[in-house]
Amino acid sequence: MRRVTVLLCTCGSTLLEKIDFNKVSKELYKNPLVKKIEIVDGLCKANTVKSLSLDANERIIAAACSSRLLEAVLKNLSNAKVIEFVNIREQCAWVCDDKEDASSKTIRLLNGSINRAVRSNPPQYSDGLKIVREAMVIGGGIAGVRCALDIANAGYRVYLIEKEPSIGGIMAQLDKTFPTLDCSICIEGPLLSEAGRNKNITIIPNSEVVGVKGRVGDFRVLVKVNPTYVDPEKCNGCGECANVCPVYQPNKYDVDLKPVKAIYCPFAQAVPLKYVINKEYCIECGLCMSVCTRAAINLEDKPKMLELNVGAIVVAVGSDLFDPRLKPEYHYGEYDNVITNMEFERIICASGPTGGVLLRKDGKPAKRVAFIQCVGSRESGPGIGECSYYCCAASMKEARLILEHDKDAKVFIFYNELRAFGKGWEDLLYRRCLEDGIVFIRSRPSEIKRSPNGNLIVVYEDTLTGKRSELEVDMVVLALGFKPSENLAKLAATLGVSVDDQGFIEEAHSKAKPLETRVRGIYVAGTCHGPRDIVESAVEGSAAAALVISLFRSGNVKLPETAVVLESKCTGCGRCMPVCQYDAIVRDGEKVRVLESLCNGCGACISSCPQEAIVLGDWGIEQLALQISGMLGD
Amino acid sequence: MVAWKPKIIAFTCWCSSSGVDQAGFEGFKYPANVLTVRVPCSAIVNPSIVVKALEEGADAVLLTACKPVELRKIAPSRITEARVSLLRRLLKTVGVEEERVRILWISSNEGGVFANEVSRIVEETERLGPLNLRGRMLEQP
Amino acid sequence: MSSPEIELRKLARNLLERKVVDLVIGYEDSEAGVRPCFIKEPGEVEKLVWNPDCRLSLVRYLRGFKEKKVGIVAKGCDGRAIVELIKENQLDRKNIFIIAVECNGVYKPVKYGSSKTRRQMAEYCEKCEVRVSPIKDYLIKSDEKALEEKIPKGDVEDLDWLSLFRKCLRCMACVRSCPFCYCTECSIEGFKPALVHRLVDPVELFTFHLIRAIHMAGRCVECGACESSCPVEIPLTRLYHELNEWFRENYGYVPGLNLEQAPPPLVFKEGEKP
Repeated sequence: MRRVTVLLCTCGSTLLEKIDFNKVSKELYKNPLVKKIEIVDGLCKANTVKSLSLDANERIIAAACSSRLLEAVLKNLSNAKVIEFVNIREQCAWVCDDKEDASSKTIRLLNGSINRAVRSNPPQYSDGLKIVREAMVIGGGIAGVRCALDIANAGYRVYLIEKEPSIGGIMAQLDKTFPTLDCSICIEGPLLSEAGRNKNITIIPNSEVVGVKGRVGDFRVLVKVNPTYVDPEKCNGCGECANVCPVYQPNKYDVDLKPVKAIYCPFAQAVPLKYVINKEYCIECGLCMSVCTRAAINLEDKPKMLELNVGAIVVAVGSDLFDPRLKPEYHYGEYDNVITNMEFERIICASGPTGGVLLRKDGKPAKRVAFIQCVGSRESGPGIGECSYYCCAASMKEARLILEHDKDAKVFIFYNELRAFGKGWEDLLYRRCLEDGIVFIRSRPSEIKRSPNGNLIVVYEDTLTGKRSELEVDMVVLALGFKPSENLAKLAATLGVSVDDQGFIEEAHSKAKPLETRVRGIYVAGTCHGPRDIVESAVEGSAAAALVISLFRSGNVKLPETAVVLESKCTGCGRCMPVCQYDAIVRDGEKVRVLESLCNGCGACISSCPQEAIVLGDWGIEQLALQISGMLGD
Repeated sequence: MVAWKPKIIAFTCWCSSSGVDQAGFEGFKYPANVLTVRVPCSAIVNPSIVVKALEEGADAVLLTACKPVELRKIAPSRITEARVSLLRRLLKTVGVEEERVRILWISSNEGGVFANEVSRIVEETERLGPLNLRGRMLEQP
Repeated sequence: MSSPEIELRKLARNLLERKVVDLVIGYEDSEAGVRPCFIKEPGEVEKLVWNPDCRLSLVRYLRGFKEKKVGIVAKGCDGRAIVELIKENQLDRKNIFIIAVECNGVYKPVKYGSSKTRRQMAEYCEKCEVRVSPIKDYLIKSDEKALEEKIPKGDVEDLDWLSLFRKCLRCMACVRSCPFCYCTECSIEGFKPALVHRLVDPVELFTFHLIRAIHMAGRCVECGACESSCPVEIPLTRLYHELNEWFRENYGYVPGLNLEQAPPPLVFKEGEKP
């Protein structure tokens, strides 16, 4: 028979007056499962533990203080394996007035644990699982690039997966950043080229993740690389091809406002600086092939599949902006001079379609401009319910840009609540806006009308005065809220991570684990888990990099105890599947299987199985039943 | 004769067992007849085990679990809650007071809540009297 | 001979001759009363009977013929059991030909030795609202009205369950007859059960029945197989009915009504009552 050793701790003799240790010891010796009982005065002291000379194979029950305190201490002091902790201090001595009561409760709790301990397996401290010390970052916006750089600088290889021909994301499209009004691409450009130069970073543009297998430390990711019809190895970015290309197409980078050739490079600071062909517009005339001195163009290019083996994945795919067509009252797409804030950024940018002059479609300069805030955010309509975080500051920045370009312009901002909470936002943005004479109107305009001369009339009710009015302007800029990008749900399903009710990626815990997802080894950064600005996205990129690096440095990965299906017993009835909150149980032929990278060891499944065909460590019915009968026995 | 005292089994999940320890830290007192069984999560407690505990002589069984609001979408304690509700219905049907099985939301810092609630439950169980399933099952008609 | 019976025999002959099914599971008469029969040859179909004594569920036998195409005579409750078992991944709809027979309720079993004159309808049939199987390949309509002899209202009293459990012999007839008991290792039987030991300690009868009830909750289709095979007449269906009511009240779910409706996960959502 397996027998146990009980260590009774008197907590530096302080428990002696609360618990009758002699009685406890005498009673426990009546239990035939007890091999020996040691009464010690401090299990948390190195000397005490050493003097016990515990054997590594002994099955030990430690009856002392809260396991919250003791477990970590004991692990460092001794290699003996404690299989049960019984808290006789906080749960017996300190909560009972009567010594008799405390002693008898101690005896009962210990008898239960002794019964349980003989049937449980000693804890297995596994040597840890294999870790592939290479990471994948999905998405090359500011969060992804910052993250890739930080991981790479720590000495680990990073695969940076980008769906567009160039990394950069939304930040690359912006003219200036708030609150300081400094040039956006001048800040991001050096980071992009640093990422391009870094030997540890492999940028894979035009690609998407289509499949993931494995677990933390050892993911196998299937990446589909879409054809660009230009061999990136051979292309040196000379641009001769674009000079001869006869076809124009709208450039996505310029929000379709400024045409480029069908063979193109999205922007001057693109990384990698390679030309690509948009096959939707290419007429396959072959002119580009005739001028390319390096024979880089291959019109027969096919998609390629890569399988990458990485230890950690950071999702930084960003978000899309709300589609203003879903708010018909603003007539976006119908009235020429209603534009989005992204379009505004390109128009006001010196490298943009108008060379930085704020012109309307009819070529007239825009002198009176209105901004409408919260389009597609903070609403129950087609947008998201949350605040989109960046737009108050962005619109104030854009308003100031207008005045920088044209002192005589008049700018109005229709806001709901003006949220200027970031560092420098109050001083550098809000105060200066007021000083510059920008008019803030608290209202969510109900409609935009068009006057015969092409001007726009904003219909609104000022919610501070309750007065209804109309305002004639040359141009209206809609401050669009974030929305989860179109393919985010699919990507989330591929990765096995969950999405929240808005459709953004859900964190493992919003406060304690803000950058982890429910899949261990998959982290999240940037706007794909909710609206944020550039600063916070960059912060999260670095923070996610720290998590990846700490995983790689930790030496081994310890998974929590996970549930295991006993194949011989499982009938495949599936009663365990709906109770699993982590979607960790999947069908496998006629039976079910637990995905260990998703399982959190809560045990909801094992208690829903009518015949214990799923087990989780020592938490079976048998052990619990024995513990209870030990406790309740007389 | 020693006055009868109820025996109560409390299955405490990892988090709420910290709450139980907290009661000791903060010096709260509660009756000694509450015996705790620490489990990783309340959802691991099979309703059958609760039945077994009643059969073995427990006068009431208590499950302490994390508040579902603190867990947001992933809330195994909601499963426990539903199972307890089903089990109470079953017990009521077979003629056992449903108050003998309960669920309590205890966070890891709510030692005081635990101590108060448990004292109340001990009192109420005392009013219900012994469950004495063994005696009732053995008694001759 | 009733007309449903003639129709049933004709159908069974047809199915077997055209090799639509490999065998038909139905009921036949014997000295000890109605019992299941397995018809493999068209010549044997005259054995088939249909009457209010065809009470035991035949669904249990289906799992034994997984590879074969089987025709089965199914009452409303039997059809619901088939639906549940398909949902639980135990049966393949393709392999089952459901001969749905409109059911007007079945008789309570006769106690050995008592006279056959007065026959009462089974209690669970009175609660039944599904006279015809929800899924079917052929429907045989009944030509009779519902059984008239019902249990007088006053007779349904509150039961003293503990004393009923005390009578239990643990013969396992309830487990053996139940269409839903297909576990590879029953948790309340066998050599090493953790909760119920084989030595008969009367107090464990309580645990035995409660665990079985927990395992049946939200699945039981109230076919009455357990209670009509119980030698000590414990009205188990009434116990399982109570738990089904819990499911109906909390989730609006009734087991076995259609193939699409998945059993509710045993979880309360935010805002629902505890």
